[in-house]
Amino acid sequence: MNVSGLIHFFLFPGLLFAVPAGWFYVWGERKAVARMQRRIGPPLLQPFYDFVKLLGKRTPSRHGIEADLLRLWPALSVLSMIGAIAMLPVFPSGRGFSGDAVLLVALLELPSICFILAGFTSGSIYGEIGAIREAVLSVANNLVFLLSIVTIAVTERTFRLSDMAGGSWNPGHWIGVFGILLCIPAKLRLNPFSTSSAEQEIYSGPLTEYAGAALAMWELAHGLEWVALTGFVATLVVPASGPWWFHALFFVVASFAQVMLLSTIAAATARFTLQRAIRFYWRWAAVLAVLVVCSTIYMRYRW
Amino acid sequence: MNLIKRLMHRCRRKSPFLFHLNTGSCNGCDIELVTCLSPRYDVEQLGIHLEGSPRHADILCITGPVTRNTLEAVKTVYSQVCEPKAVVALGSCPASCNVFAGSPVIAGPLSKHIPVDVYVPGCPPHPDAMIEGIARAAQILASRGVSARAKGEPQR
Amino acid sequence: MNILRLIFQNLCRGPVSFRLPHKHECTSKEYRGLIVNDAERCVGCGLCAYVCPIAAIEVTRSGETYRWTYDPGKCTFCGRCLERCKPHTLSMESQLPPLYSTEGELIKVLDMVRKRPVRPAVAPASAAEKHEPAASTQAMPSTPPAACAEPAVE
Repeated sequence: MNVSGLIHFFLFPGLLFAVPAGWFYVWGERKAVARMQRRIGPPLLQPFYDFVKLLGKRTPSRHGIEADLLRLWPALSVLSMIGAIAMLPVFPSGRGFSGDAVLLVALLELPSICFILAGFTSGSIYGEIGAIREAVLSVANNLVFLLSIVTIAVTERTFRLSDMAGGSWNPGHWIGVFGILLCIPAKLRLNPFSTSSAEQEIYSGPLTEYAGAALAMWELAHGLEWVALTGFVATLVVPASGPWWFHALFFVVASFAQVMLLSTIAAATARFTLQRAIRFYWRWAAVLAVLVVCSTIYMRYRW
Repeated sequence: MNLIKRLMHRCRRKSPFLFHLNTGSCNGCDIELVTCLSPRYDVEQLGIHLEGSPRHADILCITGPVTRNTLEAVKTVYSQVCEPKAVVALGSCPASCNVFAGSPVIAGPLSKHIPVDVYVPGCPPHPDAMIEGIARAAQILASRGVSARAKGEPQR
Repeated sequence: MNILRLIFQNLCRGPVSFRLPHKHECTSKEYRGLIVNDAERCVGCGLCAYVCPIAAIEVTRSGETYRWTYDPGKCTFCGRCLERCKPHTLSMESQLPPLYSTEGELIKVLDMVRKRPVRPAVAPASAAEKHEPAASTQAMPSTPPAACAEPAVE
């Protein structure tokens, strides 16, 4: 356990940076959507107030294994997201905590799985419906996500994150980045892919039975998902050379720019039905699959 | 731990989550409540957020005279809201059943079944009055804390 | 791409919301607020209680006095009482009804002495001689009509 690894886990871009950044990005999205709708929007500290208030609620007591499981899912989401954020190669010159893209993908996948399991464990019909929608959507969008990462890995000829990071001028790299950007709205449950937490249709979906501190953890996990996913794309587009403070600054600025872009898409679109969302992802998956296969064949031919 | 109490008081006042329940209302009060979320009034400035589940909410906004069919729902939803909580009766129907008083299908004014904190008179009330009512309920529940009115465990 | 252009316009034009807390200003004279009764001029006819669809207004009599009760919590602000009030003593406030926390907090009760209706002064001297024996048998309190000094209520 080296010191720089600990710094990455706890300081930047780990816990101490990620939690306020998550709240800031969540506020940014709500404020941007409000301004686009000619409203004023919440004050800056609103996610923090929500978090602390939820911690102070008195929740109903549940008994049995179900109670422990229900508490486990949000805790697991938060921990896996912090781990994923700590693994991000913010400094591509090798000073960072270098990891493997496969591990990163596994960690990024965990909140979605926990969300689905939380819906089924909660025993409420709304939870089940929300979990089913999330499961089906996640299968569809994970295909695009994984193929995009494979595209980038094939073009960079590596699965190591620190080597994949840094924007090279390879077209395959940028197609992969575009593919990842396509998947982010579904992972964050934003419009137009917000069908699994459709308030007007299924109450709160999988989180219907959650209250108090567990709900606060889910909201925190959502904020951390913002940081992790936008940060991942930011590390893939940052220019490879430059001092370390430039990389850190670019990381934050590029993440926030993506938050603005995603808020614009969320404000401009309505919610897709599940069928339409799946059809959208399978079409793009087909395109990306073809591209990945072509690039693999091209590289084998060149070698 | 005075600082923590003050922080919790401030956070509870600044972030009231609503759950809206219609117990047989004509929908006039419901439409005016949704108007509060529209760009004209925009209660999100105060941190107010309409939630999908009663377990996520602090303030229960109830419209309508409590009909016989909705009586069980009112009691169940009230028990599902986690402490500290507050109840706002919007309009004159929950306060006194308005024109429906004496009808055999009405289970009486709301205060017969659950304790009400703020009444907002009007038929329907003006959105400004509703926002003031919700802000007052947030103040009440912030100063109430968790200890008061804890009568038994809320049901699942 | 119409929506993107609309979003851009919205961002340029800025928010249109009121800054909360917002005080509502009733600019219309016909705004329907709480009912106000003029105790000096009310005659206790009870027409307002008769037409109120909710029985928010109640008029009860006991001998010389009558009690006018109004519960704003029940009121639906329809204005029927205003329309039917013959002496035009009822009026509506031009501001929002206030919030309250306990039931019955806003109930207004007015106790008023019953006012006698005024007979027109036709011929006081001859009328007094003719009607005096008959006046004593009537249920009306025995004061001569000429002595009646209260202003006529229309």
